[in-house]
Amino acid sequence: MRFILVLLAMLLSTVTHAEPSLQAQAAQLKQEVVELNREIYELEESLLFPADTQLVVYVAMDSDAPFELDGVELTVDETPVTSYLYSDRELQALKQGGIQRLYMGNVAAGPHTIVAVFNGRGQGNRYMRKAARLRIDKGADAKYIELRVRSSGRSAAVPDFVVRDMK
Amino acid sequence: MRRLILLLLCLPVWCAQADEPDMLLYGQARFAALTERPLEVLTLLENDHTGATHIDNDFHNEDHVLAIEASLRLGLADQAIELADHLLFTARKESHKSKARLLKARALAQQKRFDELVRWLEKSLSHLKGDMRDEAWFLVGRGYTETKRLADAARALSRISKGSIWAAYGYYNLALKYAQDDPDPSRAWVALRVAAALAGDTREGQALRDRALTVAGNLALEVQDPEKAAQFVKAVRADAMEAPSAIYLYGMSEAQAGRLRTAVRTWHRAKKYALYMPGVAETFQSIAWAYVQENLKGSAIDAYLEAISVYEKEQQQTRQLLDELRQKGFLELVRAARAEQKSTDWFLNTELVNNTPRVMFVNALMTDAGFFGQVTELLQIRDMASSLEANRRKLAILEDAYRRASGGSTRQAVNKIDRLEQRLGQLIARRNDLVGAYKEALAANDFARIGSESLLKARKRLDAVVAELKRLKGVLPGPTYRELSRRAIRLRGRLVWEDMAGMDESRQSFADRIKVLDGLIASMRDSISRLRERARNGRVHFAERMQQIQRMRARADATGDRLQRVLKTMDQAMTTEAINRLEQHLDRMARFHVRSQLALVNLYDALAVAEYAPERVRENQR
Repeated sequence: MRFILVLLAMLLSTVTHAEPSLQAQAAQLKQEVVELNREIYELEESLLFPADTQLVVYVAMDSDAPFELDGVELTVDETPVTSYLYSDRELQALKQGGIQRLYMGNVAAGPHTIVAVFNGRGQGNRYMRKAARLRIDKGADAKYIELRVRSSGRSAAVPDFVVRDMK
Repeated sequence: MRRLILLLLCLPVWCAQADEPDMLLYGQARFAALTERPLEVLTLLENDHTGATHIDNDFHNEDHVLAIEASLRLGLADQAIELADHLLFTARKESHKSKARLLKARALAQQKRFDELVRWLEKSLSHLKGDMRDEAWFLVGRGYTETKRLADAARALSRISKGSIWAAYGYYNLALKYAQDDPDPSRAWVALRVAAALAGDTREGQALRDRALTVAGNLALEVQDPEKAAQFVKAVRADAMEAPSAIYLYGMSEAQAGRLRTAVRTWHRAKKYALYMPGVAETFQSIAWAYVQENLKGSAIDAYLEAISVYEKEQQQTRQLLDELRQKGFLELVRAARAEQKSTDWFLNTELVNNTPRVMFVNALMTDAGFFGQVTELLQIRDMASSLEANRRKLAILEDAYRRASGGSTRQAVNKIDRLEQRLGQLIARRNDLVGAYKEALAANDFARIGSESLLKARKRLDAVVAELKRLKGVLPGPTYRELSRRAIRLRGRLVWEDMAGMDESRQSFADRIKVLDGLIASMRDSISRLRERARNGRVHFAERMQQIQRMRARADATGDRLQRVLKTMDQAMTTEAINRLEQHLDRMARFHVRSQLALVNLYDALAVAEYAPERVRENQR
């Protein structure tokens, strides 16, 4: 009887002291990091970019756009706010339907001018630098703008650079 | 996890038509997925900031697919399975359901639940088409292979379409199992031949073919079939990872066939590779051995001397690497190797000749599937720790900025309200004085003070006129003065009369004015009180935000610390494993070194004896 009790006690102590395996701990931690990242992302956005002043600019490309995008420069009301150089992998991701969030910032309500300058290579590996401009009226809601490179309706060899208010 | 499903599923009923936010969210997640950032995919898809998706919405289903793939990339197979089950339940399109079925199978394979994997795919396969079906048959084959049902595995693999690389992978895995379990290599050879034939000409396919041919060559040499071995290994590409092994094996096949000169010529080509690569260290000894067999003792001595020098150098470099590993750990070694090899697919780099010992060692470790899996896990945890660390820094900055901003603006608001309240107090005091003076005048029947403004002005003018009249008393003729005095008295009487007549009106007007003033004062008091409330609420709001930030910081700190502990433990385990392997390599080099030295001594002995013997004969003759 005593032996059984000792055995039970030993078993119990093993059970209570058993820690999850390293793999299990790692999986749980990964899950926690994913959740934390999301919450921090939300908090940061709500604190730094409240909806009433938020301006977000996205970059997208049509898969058949005859243009190898090297980089984009963005100005808001004649102030350069960001520029970005694309790697091959990022360019392919854009051509496969990926959308890049290029810029997130704050602007006051009222009219603003957005200018995007696209640098890259067009047909025949020819260097191109094209600007597209858009006037927007910022209201009380967040404003989403899309910069898109697509093939022109006039000719398949000529790219179109569009700045669009997504409302 | 449930939260992710809920966010992906339930949030958005009210914005079913919101196609653009859905498209943006999906596009961003896709961009992150295609640029190898699975953590960002999950962060985005658990976030409804750019709008939300809806159950009856293609983007919603595609988001699920991306989330499952990202979960698999991060080794979160449980989450992937849960999401796949959910997608199977909610998706309406067969294409989405098919993807969910296959992704669940991948997750089961990742968890090594092979029996379940086979059962799952047996009921799902009829729904899959094209490349997905081929991959599914490959997974069934893998499931059977891992559970040692090799005949069933072969049957499953035979169902894969012609030209699919999945078949090549399947037959390669099967061949390895045959080679392990069966002393007769015939079945393994057949499977390896099929794998090589089906591998195709892509970079991936060529790498697989090289591997299959090298294994087949090795098996052939083990059963003393040099012609067959040569046939296999000579087809391995010169820039393949397996090139040094293939060269060594080809040399061995030539040697076994008795063509020692060709063997030596072949082996010389392997000398440029790192000694950690299989077959390279053996090559140096084999060259010397072949010279001995050819009775070229001088060349053999040179070859042994070269081998000894190479083994010594390798031991020295291995010891340096061991010291580095012991001091800095495995993770740091991988980081340094990665920095040395700037290519993105650093561990796939086949620049075998120019790489440093560190890079070669790490690359060689990566070819071990088990080790590769552990390193992937370690790097995932390291990347997550870095991402969390970046977020911790962000939170610290946010907290600091918020504390400063909230302190400043609250103080300013409170000061302003205090000033307003002070002015209101002054206003109330003046109002009270006015009311007091009015009551006093009323009690004293001082109608003049209460009267209308115009009468007050008229009275003042009359007082001025009377004063002027008094001054002119001596100047004016008596009758004129008296007449004017009478008129002044009459005027005063008229004013008193007017005052009395307008008394009620004036009293009412005064009361109305005071009432308006009281109304204004009350409204101002309300405004100030509201402002105070708002400032108080603002402080509460700031305080709540601060608490939110601080709570999140505390969580991030705690998770970060745990992550670091797990990372450290994993790094220690990997370091120990890497040290073991390096020590084994060091022992191997030491053995080769000693063997070469002994062989050299024996050779010198033989030479000495050979020189000494004719001398003895000559001496005896004399």
